Amino acid sequence: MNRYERPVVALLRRVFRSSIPGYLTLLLGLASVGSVFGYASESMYGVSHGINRIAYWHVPIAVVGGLALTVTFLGCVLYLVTATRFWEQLAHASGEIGFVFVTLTLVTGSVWGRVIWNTWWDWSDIRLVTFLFIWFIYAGYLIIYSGAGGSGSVSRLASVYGVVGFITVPISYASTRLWTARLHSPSVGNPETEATITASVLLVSIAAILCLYVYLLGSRVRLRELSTRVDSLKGRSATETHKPLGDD
Amino acid sequence: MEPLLVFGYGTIFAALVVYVLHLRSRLSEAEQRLEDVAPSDRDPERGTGSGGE
Repeated sequence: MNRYERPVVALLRRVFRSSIPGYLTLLLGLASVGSVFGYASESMYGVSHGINRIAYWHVPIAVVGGLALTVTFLGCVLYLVTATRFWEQLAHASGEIGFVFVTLTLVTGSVWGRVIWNTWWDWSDIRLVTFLFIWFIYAGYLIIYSGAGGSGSVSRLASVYGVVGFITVPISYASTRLWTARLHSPSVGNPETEATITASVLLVSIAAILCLYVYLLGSRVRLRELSTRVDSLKGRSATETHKPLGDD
Repeated sequence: MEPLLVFGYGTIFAALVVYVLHLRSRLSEAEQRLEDVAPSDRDPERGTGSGGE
């Protein structure tokens, strides 16, 4: 680990060991649920329906999911450049959480679409299809990684895959601006679309999901570190047990 | 309340709770394994376990 990495890794480890993200998740999560079902607007894009309330968690989960996959990309790049195990552990942990968030985004989006668009899924919508691509790409990343078993070459292969596969993430998030989407339309900075989402509730939900992400990331990285430590201790004690007795 | 809304939020909360509980159980299991393995690694002269990275 070089002298530039050391303070960054130490800071991240301190954040991951802290109990603050866990408590903040609880606090902000309760505030979010209370405000979503309390006073958030259920009228969006000109349609007033209770199902629109799913947007207050669908959007934050999608946004933080994208952030998680970006962290995976950065972790993979840093691991390939520096070969420091911490970045690999961070990339894998964030990839797993990102995968969970992408899955939840697909499920909640499908539920929302069933009522608003009258369909669970539409293959002609570019956002839906590219987001499903992300799901498959990161399922593949986790499968490759699960086969690594601490092997350096497989970890590097998984990291290269993590770097190359990340290209699908910005493409999907920008897809509604790059191509004409049948169902999704860009809502941020688009005067033609009036989302009328309650911004304060959305921000509280994003903060809650972000804290949850940091809490999960901390737990996942710590789990990887502990497992690696146990494996190395076991390996060392096995070597000592089978050490030749020396010259007789 | 809209049944699909209950299903949507139910899925989110169920998935997150299951994932958190799964992580916590694996963490305590790993901590237990470390405790079991660590004493054999201790250097009796220094009385210290192995450090991190």
